[in-house]
Amino acid sequence: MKKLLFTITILTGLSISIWSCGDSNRTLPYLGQNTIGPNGDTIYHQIPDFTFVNQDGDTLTQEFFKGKIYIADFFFTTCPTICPIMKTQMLRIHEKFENEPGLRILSHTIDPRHDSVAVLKKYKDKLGVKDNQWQFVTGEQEKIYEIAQKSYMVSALEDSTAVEEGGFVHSGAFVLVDQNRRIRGVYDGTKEIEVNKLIKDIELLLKK
Amino acid sequence: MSYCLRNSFLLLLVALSGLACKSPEAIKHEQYVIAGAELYAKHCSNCHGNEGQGLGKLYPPIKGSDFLENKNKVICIIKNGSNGTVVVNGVSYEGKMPKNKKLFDLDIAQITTFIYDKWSGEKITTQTEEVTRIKCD
Repeated sequence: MKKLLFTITILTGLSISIWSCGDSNRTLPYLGQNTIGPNGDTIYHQIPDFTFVNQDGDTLTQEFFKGKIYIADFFFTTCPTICPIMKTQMLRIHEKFENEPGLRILSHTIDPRHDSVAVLKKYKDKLGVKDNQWQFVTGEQEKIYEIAQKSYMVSALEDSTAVEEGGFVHSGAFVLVDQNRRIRGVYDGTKEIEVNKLIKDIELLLKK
Repeated sequence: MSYCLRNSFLLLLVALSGLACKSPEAIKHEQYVIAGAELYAKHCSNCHGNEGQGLGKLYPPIKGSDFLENKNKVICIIKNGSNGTVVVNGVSYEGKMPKNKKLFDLDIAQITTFIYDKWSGEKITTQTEEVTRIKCD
């Protein structure tokens, strides 16, 4: 009898835990350096205000992303290694969520000396991106590297010894930012499986 | 049990005869395709895509590309890179394709064999000597 009870308990526990693993109950973590405020509340890591210039020469700030979720990444147009793969994957996301007003994409160039407004405009057109959802921005190199490293927590730096990489070292990460400018996920933008996970997480965040 | 054994033996025999029937050329072709696929994944697929689909109007496709009609041009562009506009299926692609100094003529022969096998269904092996001798302008 005892044994039977035990089995039932285990089975019930298992089924509950399996049931709660369903996608609808899944939550995403808050990534970054979270701190404790004076009231004892957790203050989550947030993306600070920023000002960049987009492919149309317009100023782009955090206002454009207000109340939306967005994916941020770092690249440069002449990158011979991982960028084309990242852009292939980002294009998948863009095409999947083409008419989704709650999602935006922000691609920063890490080579602003070469990637001028005109270069970015051409790149966007040639990639086949027609709407406003996906923005390509340039700006002061220092500011771009700073926001990459300190806020999005991905690596981006100039390195003339990295000849094969085109003179820059940078991560292929896609950073998922929620409606309140908090980081909810970091994914390898060069791997299809990781990007599949990102797509699931976007759907989850959009529901809330 | 003996029935089972006999069956396995027969199967083995069939498999062996299958192997033996392949001509040395066909075996070489297969080797080139396999090695070429690996080289393609390492050196070409970043830009041209795993399935040879290219990327927008930034990088030209290989699959279904009219560029494949001229194999000499294909070998030359892998060998020397390209620095100007390339027109594929009526679309102009700017920018340069870097020359890869790490590729030996054998590697280029294998990549070319793979590309034509996969995207043209062609069973002709590109020979290393062809790559070495080819005249490019």
